[in-house]
Amino acid sequence: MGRALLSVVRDVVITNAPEELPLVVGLNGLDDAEIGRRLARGRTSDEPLGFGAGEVVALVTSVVWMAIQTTANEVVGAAAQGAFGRLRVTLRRMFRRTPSAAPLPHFGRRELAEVHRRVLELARDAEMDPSRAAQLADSVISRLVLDTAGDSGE
Amino acid sequence: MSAATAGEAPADHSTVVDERVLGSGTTLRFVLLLVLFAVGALSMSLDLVNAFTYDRHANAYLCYLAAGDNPAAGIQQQVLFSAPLDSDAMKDCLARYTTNLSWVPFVVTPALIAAGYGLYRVLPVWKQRRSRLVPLDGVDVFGTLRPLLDDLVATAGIAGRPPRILVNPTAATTGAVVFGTSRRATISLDGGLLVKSRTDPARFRAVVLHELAHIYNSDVGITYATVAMWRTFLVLVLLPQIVTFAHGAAVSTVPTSWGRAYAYAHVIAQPFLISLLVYLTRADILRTREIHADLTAARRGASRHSGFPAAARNTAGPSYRVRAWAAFRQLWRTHPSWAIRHRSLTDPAPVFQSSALPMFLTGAATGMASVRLHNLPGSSLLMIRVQALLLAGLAMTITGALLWRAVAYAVLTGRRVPTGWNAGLWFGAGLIVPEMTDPLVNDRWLPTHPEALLILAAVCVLALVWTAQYAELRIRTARGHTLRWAMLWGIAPPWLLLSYTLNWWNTDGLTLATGWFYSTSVTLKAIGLTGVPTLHPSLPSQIDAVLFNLPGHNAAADTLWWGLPLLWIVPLALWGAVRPPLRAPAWLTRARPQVPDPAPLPGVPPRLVHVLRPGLIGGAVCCTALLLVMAVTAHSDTWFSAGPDRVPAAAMLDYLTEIKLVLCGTGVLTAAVVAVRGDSRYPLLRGLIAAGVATLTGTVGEWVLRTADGCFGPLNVERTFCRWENPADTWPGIPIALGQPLGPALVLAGLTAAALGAFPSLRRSRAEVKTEAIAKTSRRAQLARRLTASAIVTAALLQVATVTAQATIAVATSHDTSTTVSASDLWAEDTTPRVSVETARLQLLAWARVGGVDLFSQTVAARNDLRKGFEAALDAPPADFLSVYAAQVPQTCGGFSALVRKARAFFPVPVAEGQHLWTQFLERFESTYEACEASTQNPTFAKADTVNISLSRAIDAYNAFHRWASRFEAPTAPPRQ
Repeated sequence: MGRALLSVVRDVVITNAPEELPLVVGLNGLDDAEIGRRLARGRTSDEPLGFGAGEVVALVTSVVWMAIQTTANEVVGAAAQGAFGRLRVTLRRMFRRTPSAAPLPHFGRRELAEVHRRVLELARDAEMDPSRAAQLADSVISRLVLDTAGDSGE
Repeated sequence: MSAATAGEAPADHSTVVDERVLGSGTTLRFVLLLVLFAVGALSMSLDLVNAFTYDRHANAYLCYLAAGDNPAAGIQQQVLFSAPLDSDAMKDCLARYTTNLSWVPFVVTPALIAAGYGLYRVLPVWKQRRSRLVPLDGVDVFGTLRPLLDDLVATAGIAGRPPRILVNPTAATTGAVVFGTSRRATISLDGGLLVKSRTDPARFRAVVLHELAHIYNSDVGITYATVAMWRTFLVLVLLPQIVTFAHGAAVSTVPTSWGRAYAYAHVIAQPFLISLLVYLTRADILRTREIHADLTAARRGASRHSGFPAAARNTAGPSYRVRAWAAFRQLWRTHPSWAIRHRSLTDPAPVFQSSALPMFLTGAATGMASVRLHNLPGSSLLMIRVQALLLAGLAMTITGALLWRAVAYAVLTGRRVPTGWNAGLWFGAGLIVPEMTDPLVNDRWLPTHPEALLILAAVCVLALVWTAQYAELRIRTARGHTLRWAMLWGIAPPWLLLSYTLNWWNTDGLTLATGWFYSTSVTLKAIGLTGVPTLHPSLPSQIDAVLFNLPGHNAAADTLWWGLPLLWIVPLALWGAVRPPLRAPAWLTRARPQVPDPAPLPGVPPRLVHVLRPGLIGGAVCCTALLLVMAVTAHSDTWFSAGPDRVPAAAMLDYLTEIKLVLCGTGVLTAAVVAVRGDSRYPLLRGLIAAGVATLTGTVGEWVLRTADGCFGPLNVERTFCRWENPADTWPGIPIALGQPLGPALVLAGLTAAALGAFPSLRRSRAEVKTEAIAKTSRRAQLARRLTASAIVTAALLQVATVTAQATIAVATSHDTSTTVSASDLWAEDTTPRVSVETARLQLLAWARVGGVDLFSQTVAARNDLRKGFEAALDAPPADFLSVYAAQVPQTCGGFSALVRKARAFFPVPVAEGQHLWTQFLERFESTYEACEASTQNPTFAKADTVNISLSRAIDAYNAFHRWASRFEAPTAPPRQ
């Protein structure tokens, strides 16, 4: 098993978008599944004294998180994200237990390729610059490979 | 700021006006919302309590029937039938058959306030948890954000009350939101915005300064107070009501028929309308506040437009249908479109508009609160007066402030000044919508005479057209540092007009919506004349009937009648005191910060003499017409037909009506002439001043003519002798009668002038009369103008004071004498249909049910007690008769006394013939009681015999009543004895 998802995202953000580091730090303490849901939604609801529905920024954090989490979920299997998984999250929230950062599963060649493809796809959806997106995808893969290498060396 | 000015179109200096030139009135609109919540909550919780006690309430109608209410007479009679509510019998009866709900407000109001306040305090905490917001200091890894934000807080001018700053790390948007309480605000920055602090500092600055501007403008506390109140209202009031209504409809055994669907519609209409009003008003206020925040932020150095998406600048107009749909969707949003926000930064016109929506919403909220308040149980006349004053104050300050802002903007930018017609019509339309749901008027879909509601709308138009013209006159001539006090003073007369009208509507006017009624005998009584009303009213008395029902006829002090003449006195005083500024006053310099040395505003008003002359001519015409009326009256056939000094009441009424008509007519005519002739500016103000002067002159002339009556030879009308005598002594009610036309005259004159002034085309056919403007320099002319105006104002105030005092005294004395004949009897005299046998039967049944039967059984019990005493005495040996009598009988006397006391406190029998027999029965029982009491002291055979005879006479009366009652075949008729 690899390192926690958050730490992978943090490392990628430090090298690719350091200005997003405060956001990654802010995610600390939230449940992985919840972070995924909130990042997927992306925008806040229209608040009475808000600035108004503004534009959405292409966040590296969001792209990387979603790409890795979706792939990891596929690896672990849908069961964990099924009804029981949700129930566990809800119960944990109810009893205010600090969520554990679930370690990432082992990513093989196929999964790494999948992550790469997803990063490019999400970056395109977020209207990120293509060259920056390619660089980001490579950066994510190398970070994950490092993790996997570390795992197999142990 | 280089970033602030980069890429912006240079602003046109002729259009830019500082939006703070006058208060925006949005805080008061929030207050009106809170009032609406409170009133709605109160009224709906009463409905709720009523729903649970429905069966008891249905029985309460028995009390009305027993007191003689005639269901066949319809709602009109029932409205008039409120006087007997004061009787003790009615109070006792209602206490037995209704639930005392006076505790409800004392429980509901504090409970809702406590719940609302609790939610208000909890909301920020809940919001922080739900959105997973994290404190800024925990994520400021580079240590740059905190100093940056501290600097912005200081720039925004709120360093004394710095907000808490949180971050929403999962939001990719570039927005921010402020929430919290008025004491402690919290700003939450979206993750996307945080990223922009490094990549696009100008945008970061603009968004944060916008949010800080909300705190600076004190938007936070009041916005979230409304949110808290709304949710409390939703959960604690609206939801239970919907559940109760749905449950009631589900278990109802009465088959639902479409014929009575209006009853359900009215039940649903109230919560639906309140919810709609609250939602739309809140969204509209918030949209205004957003633009204010944008402008405040821009002043603090926020880069204009840099927070807005690029699409904001695209203002090309699509097709009409698309725009209409967009406008409709915009109604429900809390933020104006980006295009509007973009435009507002160069030209803040949207925050100066007196557009239809806020006017309509304010009218509707006021109307809704007014309808619900006067339907609350136990609301006294004083409460109705105070409620009208407060509601009208809120409504007029809100609409007046909106209009003043619009006028100020138009005057400062040289655009077309709003006439106030649109504003008035929308405000009026809003005010009458909730009246349609008034349960007092509605036992159908709409009131019987919905056209009566147009009077309310007309008064709203008058109030706002007046406001627009007065505001223009005031703004063009204003000096000093601020317009604020000028505005508040200028809002006072229309405020009193609206208070008066709401008062009038909730007491007299409302009945117009149910039907037209007019009683000649009441009119005669009101002016101190008694006589037999004619069956076929003459034309003057028919016109009098119309005048009598219009707002303005009741001149008593508590009705605020005295506020109406202020509509011409206040502008006249202003006209007299005008000193056109020679250079721009301080308020103007501040209102146009971009203009380095502004010139004084153009448009000096015309000279006072041009306004006063038509009024004096009108007064002269009025006096001549009065003389003519006297001449015609003195030579009419009916006058003195009953002999010298004996004028028939109906003829006298016609004569007085003709005088009123002359006063009223010349006022209206003068206003009309002034509105279409002369200077085209301020037609309503000039028309009102002229009409006021004409009626004032006319009233003085009328007083002189009537005082000198008797000295005119063949023209003598009321007197045949020529000596000093105050006409008020001859005819005590006449001063009130003559005070009456002043109110309707002013309202009608105002409406005429406002209507004619709205059509400039009427003026084109005539050559424009040249009028000179007020001289700017001549001190002598200024002094003369001021003295003239002061003299007329003093005379007018004296007239108002006299009429008000006389009317107030007359009303007070008529209350004293009304104990013998109730007002409702008089009112209903001409209009009540005869009581049918079936109705009489129902009334008698009800009378028996609510206490009549109890009295009968008490009678039987008292009689039996007495008879037992007698029988015991008769069974004893004759020698012991008196001693046994003394031991047994006296204690039974009390039964009769209690019976008589109770019967006297009870309702009279609702049918006159029965009441006669009932009175006889009571009198005989009373004498039985007296005989019984007398026989307890030293009883003798003679005294005992008197008691016996008296009792049998009483029983006879009882049986006579029973025989009469049994004709109605009432199943609960008393047992025969």
